[in-house]
Amino acid sequence: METVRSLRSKLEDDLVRIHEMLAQATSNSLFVLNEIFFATTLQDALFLSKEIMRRLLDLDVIGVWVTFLDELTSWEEKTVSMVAMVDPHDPAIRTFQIVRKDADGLAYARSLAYKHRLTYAQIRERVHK
Amino acid sequence: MRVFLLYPDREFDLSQPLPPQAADLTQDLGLDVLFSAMSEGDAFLLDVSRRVLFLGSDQPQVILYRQEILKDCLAHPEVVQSLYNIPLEFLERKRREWLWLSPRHASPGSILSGAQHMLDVSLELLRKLRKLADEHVPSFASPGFRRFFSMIQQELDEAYLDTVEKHVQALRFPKGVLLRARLGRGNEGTGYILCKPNEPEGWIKRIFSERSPVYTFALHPRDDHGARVLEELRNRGLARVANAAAQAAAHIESFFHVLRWELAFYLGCLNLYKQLTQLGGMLTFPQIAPSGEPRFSSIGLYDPSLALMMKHKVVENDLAADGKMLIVITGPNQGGKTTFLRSVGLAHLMMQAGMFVSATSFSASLVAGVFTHFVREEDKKLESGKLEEELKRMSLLIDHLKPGSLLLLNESFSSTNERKGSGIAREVVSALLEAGFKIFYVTHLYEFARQLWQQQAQNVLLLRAERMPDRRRTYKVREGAPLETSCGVDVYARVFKLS
Repeated sequence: METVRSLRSKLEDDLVRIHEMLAQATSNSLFVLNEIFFATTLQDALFLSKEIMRRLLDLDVIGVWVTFLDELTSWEEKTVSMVAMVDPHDPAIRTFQIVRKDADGLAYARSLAYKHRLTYAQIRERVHK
Repeated sequence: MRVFLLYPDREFDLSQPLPPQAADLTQDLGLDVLFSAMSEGDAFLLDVSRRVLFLGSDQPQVILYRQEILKDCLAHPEVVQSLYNIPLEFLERKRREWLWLSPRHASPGSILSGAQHMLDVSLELLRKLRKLADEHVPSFASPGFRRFFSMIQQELDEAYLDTVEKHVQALRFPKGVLLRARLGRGNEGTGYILCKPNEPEGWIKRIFSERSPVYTFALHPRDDHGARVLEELRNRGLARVANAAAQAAAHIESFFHVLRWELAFYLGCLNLYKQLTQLGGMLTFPQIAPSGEPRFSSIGLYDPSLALMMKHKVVENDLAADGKMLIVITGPNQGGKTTFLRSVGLAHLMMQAGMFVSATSFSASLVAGVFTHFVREEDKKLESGKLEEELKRMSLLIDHLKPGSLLLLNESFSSTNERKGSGIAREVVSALLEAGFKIFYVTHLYEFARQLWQQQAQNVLLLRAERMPDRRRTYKVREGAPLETSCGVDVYARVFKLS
């Protein structure tokens, strides 16, 4: 978290940690990456993710990478695309099943917004006094 | 006796709870550093500073009232310290000499004795207070202090203090207690009333006056039971005067408590002033813009928490945002965007507490409250993902929003793919803007920012954190269009030591 006390930004923190991990990794290593590089533009996040992915594949490690960058799932031969499924009737409900599937670009963001009453219409109603 | 140094017409309400977003504000704006500078290790000063800052005013007359008092304090810090020492001395002596008002079931005798002692100590300190007022009323200019000192001079004049002193001495009953009583049912004594001691008579009167028969009874020195009965009689007579004395003592003690509390805030401000000016930071008393049009303009605005942590001057920003309700800040990572956002939030909190702000000049309209929504680590309980956690927090924030509030958003809705994030941001921001809230938004959502730039709405201002051609950051934030890349590439190159 970017706090006054940690004067490096979150992005630099992420990159420093990954750099250190890559330095120590071997082809027997297992990497688990969870939604990194979010504090930057789409373009940058893609660029950085591809760079890291390339390094990981060069090392021939095994890994699991949770991301919202759909493009990463089909970019390399050695990657497998998996998707966390939601209830077909109510996209806000997670089933916690992870299945092999192409990324379908349906981030359920809008349904989440609705669930938390944060659509335009809902907010107007809430703050209307 | 009313202190009235924080409000012109009342005391600070200690029962008022802190706003629900106090913890978020502390974390997001780095307030701990500021409070630490104000309190310099003193827990009491810390508590007072926190309360006054979080429970700021949206009334211009209250803010100006405090500004004037603070200016007096800055001009005469030693006097303020001397004033503050008076209630401190009272509390110290109370603690040392066990001056406490006994619990309810204590005898009137012991209540009276405790109260008498406390009044004795108080009297000394009230005289000191009076002396300070006499010495300094000519050199203090603020309406607040002038009223305070005149009140002290009027309510604690010599005649009054002398009368009080006489009564306090009399309450020691140096010649014993004179009671009057009458016979009641079964010839039991009842209706015990304390009487003023007889005036000493002149010797002629004593020799020549008619004497009414007086019956006296003296206790045998070893009559313990008799002594107890006498003590009991004495207590009955003293009950009412004991209560009165206890009330007087409590009233004075409460005055000292309020004086200490309200002065503590100004002492905290003096500490902060000293620390910031020592490291070269500029401080100014903010102008309050008239209500109506939203105003915010500043020259040389900086983040005081950052300056205190770095122990030197930090980068300043100028901002001309009059008439703007949405200010969007884009730009490279580590470009000073979060710091800029903090400087805005802290300036508002400090202004509305009646303090100076960390800028060369500052003028803004008042807001009903300050709210922050900064990016956080993923919900540790693993019940929801980053995006859902963000949305939950935003929803909670909206529950607490008061009309006319200021929102500071830092990378909100970035924890999903950019297209969806921009969609959510667009909906949330437009709804809040239309409802009259003012928003500063630091974001990487390029699509969202680009659309705003193209619309060129009158009430929207786009700023960008500066990056020089040689990739160096200046930490300055200036007007400018959003750029598609935010230079994560630079950070990557640096960390992975590429050329």
